[in-house]
Amino acid sequence: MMPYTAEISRANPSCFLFLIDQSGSMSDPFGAGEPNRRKADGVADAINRLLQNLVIKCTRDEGVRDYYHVGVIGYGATVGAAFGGALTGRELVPISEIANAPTRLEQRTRKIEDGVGGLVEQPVRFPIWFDPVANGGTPMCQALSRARSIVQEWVDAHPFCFPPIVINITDGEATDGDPTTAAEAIKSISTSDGNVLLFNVHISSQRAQPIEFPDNEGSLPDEYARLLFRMSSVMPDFMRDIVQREGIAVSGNTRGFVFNADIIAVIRFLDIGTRPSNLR
Amino acid sequence: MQVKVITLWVQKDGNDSHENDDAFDSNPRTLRFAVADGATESSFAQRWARLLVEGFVEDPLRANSYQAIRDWLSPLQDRWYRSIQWEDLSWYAEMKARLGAFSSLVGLEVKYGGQWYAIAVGDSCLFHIRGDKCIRAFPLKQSGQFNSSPVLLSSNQSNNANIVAHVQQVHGDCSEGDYFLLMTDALAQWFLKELEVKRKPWDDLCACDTDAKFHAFVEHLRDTKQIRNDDTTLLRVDILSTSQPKTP
Repeated sequence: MMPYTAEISRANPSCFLFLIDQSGSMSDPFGAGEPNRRKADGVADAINRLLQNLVIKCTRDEGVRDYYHVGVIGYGATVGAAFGGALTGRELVPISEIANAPTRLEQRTRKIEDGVGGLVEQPVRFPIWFDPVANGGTPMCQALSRARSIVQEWVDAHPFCFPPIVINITDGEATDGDPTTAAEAIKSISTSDGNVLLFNVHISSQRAQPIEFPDNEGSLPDEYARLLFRMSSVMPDFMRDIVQREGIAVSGNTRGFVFNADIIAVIRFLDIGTRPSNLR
Repeated sequence: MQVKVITLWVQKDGNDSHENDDAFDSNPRTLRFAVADGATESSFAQRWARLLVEGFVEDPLRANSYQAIRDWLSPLQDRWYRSIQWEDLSWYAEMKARLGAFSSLVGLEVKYGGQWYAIAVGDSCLFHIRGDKCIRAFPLKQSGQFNSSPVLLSSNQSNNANIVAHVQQVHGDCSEGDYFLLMTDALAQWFLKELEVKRKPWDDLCACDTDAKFHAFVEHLRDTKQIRNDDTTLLRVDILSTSQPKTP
């Protein structure tokens, strides 16, 4: 069987584990977006948008189908389950429970096409699970090691399912040693459908151009980016095809790594059934 | 003109009975038939699929211009929108529904004398069988043309901006003894695979004249990995005669 082809269904769910860097260095300015934004704002925005996209993907009619078990591990002053509110202390949670437990809903407006060539403003309830946190060191090795045991336990319980995807959102400045070994340990875990995937979202103060899914480290602006690139899984064929359709040049070494850019494409295109190509 | 219609449906294995995304409708008097398949990754898609098949049977979509498609869809989109209790929805149900529902559609209209017309958007298919030959496969012609992201008709018109290029129409003639098979994507893909290895898949399908036989057959295809696990609909139209009915 080709890897990464297991059907994702409620009976055979998959798993997302997010690691979010909440260390003191995250209070430094963020190189993307408005000048007053801090890296911690970039992280909170990234995780909230990722969770929102996962929930919406799994929403059908009035409910949410549990295609995924999802966890968020925070690392900074402490390392551990980062959800607040009703989900406090929980490591992996069915996506329907996450849908129903944001810490608050913000009223925002968004511009949408009115169908006759114009734009109209529409109010939208925007879910927030995480606020910016910047406190303590960056125990990335410890966070990866915690992730490894969570993922191992999930894989033991779901040995034939689509393998977990671990997404680490960080500025890359680990303070507890070289995270390479801990990253390799995560990527070596597998189900019958393939190895666990480890992707990295680099939130940096560097005002360099955003970079999405590079295939070599030559274009990367600093040593942290290069380290995170090397830690990231090579993208499976099906994901690489999708990235290519998005207009990004790919090769056999394209990795699940983005620099000051979003990684939502990875979620949007996981196959849980017919996804119309005219749905944006 | 006389026809006989058989409609058969099996749901995706593992889903509840109310989770059917397929829809079909037919009217043997006006000789209009339609099958649609709501997209898994969209909300309130089953009712959108149902509106499309009912809309086609009531008033077939014909012209291939953006304007004509928009005008045909517009009342159906209104009905879809009004069918949702927006104020009762959770944040996620509302956000998802605002994106719109999506569905394929294949519709067939037969005229006295035997001329027929069909229209299709997406991967629901029609096959025209005469004797022991499939003389038309529409709109897809090869099993390799199926993928999980077709362009589909949306209940949110802003998603239909480029739909014209994806609406396909075809005309033909049929005779007594011919029949049409309209089906949703998983079965259509299997059908085309069978054709590609010179088999005659319509024999198996014609042997299914009851729900029980169709269920058993689709289950066999699933167990032997010949067909994707998906809602599966088959609508068969037998042309018994093509002449005008005698007026008393």
